[in-house]
Amino acid sequence: MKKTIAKLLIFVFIVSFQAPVFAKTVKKEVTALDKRSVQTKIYDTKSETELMKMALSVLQDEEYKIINLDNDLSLITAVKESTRPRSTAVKAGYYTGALLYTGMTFGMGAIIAWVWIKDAHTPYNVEDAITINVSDLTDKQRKIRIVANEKVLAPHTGDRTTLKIITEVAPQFYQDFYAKMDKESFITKQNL
Amino acid sequence: MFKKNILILACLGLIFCPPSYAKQKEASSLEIRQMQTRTYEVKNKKELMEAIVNVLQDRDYLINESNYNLGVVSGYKESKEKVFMGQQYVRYETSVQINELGGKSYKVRTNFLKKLIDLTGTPTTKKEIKNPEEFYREFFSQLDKSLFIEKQGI
Repeated sequence: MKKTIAKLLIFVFIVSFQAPVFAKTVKKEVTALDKRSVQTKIYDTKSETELMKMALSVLQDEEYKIINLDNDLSLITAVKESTRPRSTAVKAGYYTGALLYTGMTFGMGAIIAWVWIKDAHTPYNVEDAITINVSDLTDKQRKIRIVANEKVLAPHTGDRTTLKIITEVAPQFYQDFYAKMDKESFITKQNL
Repeated sequence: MFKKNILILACLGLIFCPPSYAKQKEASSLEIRQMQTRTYEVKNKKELMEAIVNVLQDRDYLINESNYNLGVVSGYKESKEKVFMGQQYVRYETSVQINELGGKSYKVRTNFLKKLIDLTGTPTTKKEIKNPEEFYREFFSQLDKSLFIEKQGI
């Protein structure tokens, strides 16, 4: 009897792995059109140059440095360098590691651990690169498309800076940028 | 004993002689050019160049150099790639060049470079692009699609 129950429990346990909770989430592949819809916005402007100037003003407000500007193709590429503090989880990791190291070395490694902790409070260096492409849609409308990339570098005390991550920016970045563009469009229209 | 030796040799032969170990013939410069070049018929140069910029943007490239008169667009992309037992950061660099063939015909030539990014974030070692033929075919297929999308005004 016990054997049968045990077999039944094993069977239920194995079958439970097929439950929807354990189903592997299939990531929907982002198509070129999906990407374009997030990265593109249409503005009513007199010319491509007007929209380019608006974008340039936003880039200047955001402290970007222009590295490529092509008026014929209406292209702008810019780079921005900024800092970002390390997250609390990362800081906690540093402190735990330092405490463990100090304990394991019976206090002798405290100096090294102190230098290590200092790193927890050194912010990351972030490099944001952005390419803006403006093109005519109709006589009164122009299309602007932006693509951005982010590179995070981690500086270390007494050692070289190392690459932490290179990633595409989140869709929120595009929303924020276009919110600023909307404000700039308003300012331009009001001739402020 | 003799049979055993033959069996071992046969096994080794099967392991080390499959087609995957065959030395691949290096493509000639003409073959490389063919792979990298396509001819397009468009209304004007600007339409084609805008389509190229859009394809590069679709592929998450950032444009670091462009010249309309010379018909050149250069861009790069830095991303993460999965490798055996881990991941690595790579940088793809590209240059696209457009030449007018006469009438509405334009020749587009592109080349891609792949570089490894080291721990400090600097691109260093040059790496071979796996299956370059398919890589370039995919680029030109995207360019076809981009030209179609641009024509439809999407």
